Amino acid sequence: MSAHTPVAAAGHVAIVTRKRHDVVRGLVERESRALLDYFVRRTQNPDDAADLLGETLLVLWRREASIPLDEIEARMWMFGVARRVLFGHRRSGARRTALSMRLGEQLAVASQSAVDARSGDDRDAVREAIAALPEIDREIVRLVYWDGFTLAEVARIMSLRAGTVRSRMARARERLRGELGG
Amino acid sequence: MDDTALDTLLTRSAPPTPTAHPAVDAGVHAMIREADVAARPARRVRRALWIAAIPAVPALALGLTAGIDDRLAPDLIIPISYTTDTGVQINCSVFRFNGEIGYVETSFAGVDYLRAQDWTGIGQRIYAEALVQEATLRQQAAVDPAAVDLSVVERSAWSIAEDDLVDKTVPTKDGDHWGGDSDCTGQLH
Repeated sequence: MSAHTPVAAAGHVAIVTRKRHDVVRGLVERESRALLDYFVRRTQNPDDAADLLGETLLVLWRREASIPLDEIEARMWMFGVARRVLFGHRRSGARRTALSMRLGEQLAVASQSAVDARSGDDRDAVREAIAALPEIDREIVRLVYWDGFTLAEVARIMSLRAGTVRSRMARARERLRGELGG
Repeated sequence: MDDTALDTLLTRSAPPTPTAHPAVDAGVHAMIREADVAARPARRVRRALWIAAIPAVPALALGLTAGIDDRLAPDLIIPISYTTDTGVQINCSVFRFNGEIGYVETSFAGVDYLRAQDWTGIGQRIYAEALVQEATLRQQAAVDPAAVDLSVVERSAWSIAEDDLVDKTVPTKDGDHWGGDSDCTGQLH
C-alpha cells in the first residue's frame, strides 16, 4: 500500500496527533499547579478554586489543537483561558464534579496549615495595598509578581495593549511604593 | 524604598498556596485525566474532519498544527466612547467571543445577533446606566457594607450596565454560548 493513500495518511496523522497529545499532556501537567495557585489566590474558598480548575482543564483539552507547543506560549495561552474562565464564573458558575469537590476538600485542609505557617507578617499589609488597586492594575501586579509573567506576556493574557500595561504598572508601583513606606 | 526592595516586597506577598501538598497534587492529576476523557467526544469529531481533509488539502493540516491562537481574536469588537460628568473623554472597546466558557462553538447566534445591531451611542448609554447602578450599589453599601466592595464600585456599576445593555439584549436560546472581555476600566467620574 502506498504511503500516499488516504488510509496511510490517516494512520500517520493518528501517530502525529498522539505525539501532540502527549506533548500537550506534559504542558498541562506542568502548569496545572500554577493554574490552581492562580485560582486559589483569586477566589474566596477552595471549592471555587477546584471547580474553576476543573472547568479550565476541560477547556484546555477541548481546545487541544489550538494549544501552542512552545512552553512559554502555552503557559500564556493557558492563563488566558484561566482568566476568561474566572471572568465567566460570576455569570454562569462552574461545573462541579466529584473530583473537583474532593479536591476542594483537600485544598481546604491543606490551606489551613499553609495560612498558619505564614500569617502575621508584613505580607498581609502588602496584599491589602495590592487589593486596594483598581481592578485591572491589581491583576497586572498579581500576574507579574505572583504568577511570574513579564509585562508583554500580561498584555497578551489580558488582551490589553502593551503600552497600557506598562503605564498601568508604573502607576501601580508608584502608588504601592507610597503606601508601603515611601 | 528603591525598586529592588519594592520588587522583593511585592514578590514575597504572594499568598501561600497548598498546591504542593501530596493529596492536592494527586487530586489535580486525577482531574487532568478526568477532563481529558470528558473532552474526547469533541476532539474525536474534529480529528475525523481533519483526517478527511488531508488527501485534498494537505496545507490545511499544516495550518492546524501550527497552533494558531484564535482565542486572542475577538469575534466582535464594539467601540465604546463616552464623556464623564467631569468632562473626561473615554474611548475603549468591548470584546465578544463565540464559545466563551467551553470554547465549543456550538452556536454563533449570540455574537451574530450582537454584530447585527447598531451600537451607535452605546458608550454614553452604558455610562448613563452605570451612574444609576453606582448610586444603587452605594445605597446597598450604606445598608450592608459587606455586600458591596466600594473599592471597585465604578467598575462593578459599569459591568452591570454593560451586561444589561449588551448581553441581555440577546434573545436567550439553549446552546447559545458567548462571552466577553473589555479594556474599559469603568471610569465614571
